[in-house]
Amino acid sequence: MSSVVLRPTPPDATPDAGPRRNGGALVFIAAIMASLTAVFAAGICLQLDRPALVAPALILFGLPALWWGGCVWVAARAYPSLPRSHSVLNGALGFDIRCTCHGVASTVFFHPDGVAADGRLDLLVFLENYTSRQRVAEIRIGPHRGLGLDAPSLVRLHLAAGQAAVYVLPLAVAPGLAAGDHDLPVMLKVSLPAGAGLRLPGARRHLHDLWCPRFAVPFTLSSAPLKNSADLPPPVYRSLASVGEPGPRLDALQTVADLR
Amino acid sequence: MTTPSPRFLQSLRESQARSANEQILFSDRDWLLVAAFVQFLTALSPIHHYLMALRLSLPPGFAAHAPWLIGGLLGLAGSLMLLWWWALYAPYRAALTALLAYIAVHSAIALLQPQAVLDNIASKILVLTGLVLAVRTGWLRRRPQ
Repeated sequence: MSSVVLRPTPPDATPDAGPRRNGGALVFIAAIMASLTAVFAAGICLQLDRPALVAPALILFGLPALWWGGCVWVAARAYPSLPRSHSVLNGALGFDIRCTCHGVASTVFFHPDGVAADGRLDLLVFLENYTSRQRVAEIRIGPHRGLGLDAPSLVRLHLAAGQAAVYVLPLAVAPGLAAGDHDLPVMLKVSLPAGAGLRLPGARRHLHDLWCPRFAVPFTLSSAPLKNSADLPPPVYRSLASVGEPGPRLDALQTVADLR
Repeated sequence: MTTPSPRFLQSLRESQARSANEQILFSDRDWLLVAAFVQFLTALSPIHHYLMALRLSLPPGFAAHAPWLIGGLLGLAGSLMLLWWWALYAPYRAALTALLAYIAVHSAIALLQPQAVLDNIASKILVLTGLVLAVRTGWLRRRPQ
């Protein structure tokens, strides 16, 4: 397992922007709830003739309300100055994205999803950071004996704020794999080395944010490959979009196609 | 470097759509596990009533149907667990079997105890909706394109 964090090429020098702490809708609701609880708790203390408890009740619930309210205030002030997301996965590429993980949209699939005559498959991991601060995506691929992955392999991929990228991992089918449909298990976790940040303007909203999305990536083996791939090309990690550039660079996908 | 051709992008979208559908399929498979868990929880109340009736030596008519009810609910829960495992290999058939088993067991319970039809109605509707969704997703995947 590798602890090295891969950075996509070409490098993206977009700096982190916005506050470190989350100031989104959930924090806003938490601030409102804590404020109301503080008022109600103080009211109950007065009703029960316990004026000495009013101050502790206000401090207990009022301080978190103030803290969360402050986060919302800072986020609201920073939001207009944030760069706009290119929303590549949903927009230019037209992928069906179901969820995010700490603000990172992801999709994993084989292309093509049928095994070629040379027994090779390319696993494509598309990632897009919808937030204003960098992320490190930790991807656990496998195990799958039929693809030569006896143990899970771990890859750590860096994403700058608003960046979209694709990681391509060439795999070879083992000789004994039976014909039919197969699934490769893939798991994604995202860490926040520079804080949560804010969702960028233009990024798709109303996506479930999961702690650890799991994929069962399908592929079909219709018949035994004619020959086995002895030398697989090394994995590549290419940047597809940066918020510092005027538009997405889909020409990077052509290099993915050229790998075959 | 050049911009990828529309045909290449279309083939990428098709491969991605297959993977996304697989993800939905396995998400819907979890409804079987949820249904099994809810059945185990639902069985706790009749078990408690039955044990209390035995302990307090209440008249035999008080909990006459309880063993059948408990057996049905626990059997259904165990069956749903097995179907959840089977759904890895045959999602449509497993989800359809789970839906039919769920309807059959709860219809039998309704015949035995008509007054209990509306008990836990919210969880029944939730589980039934989830199982119908699982069947629908399995059917859409199984249907020839």
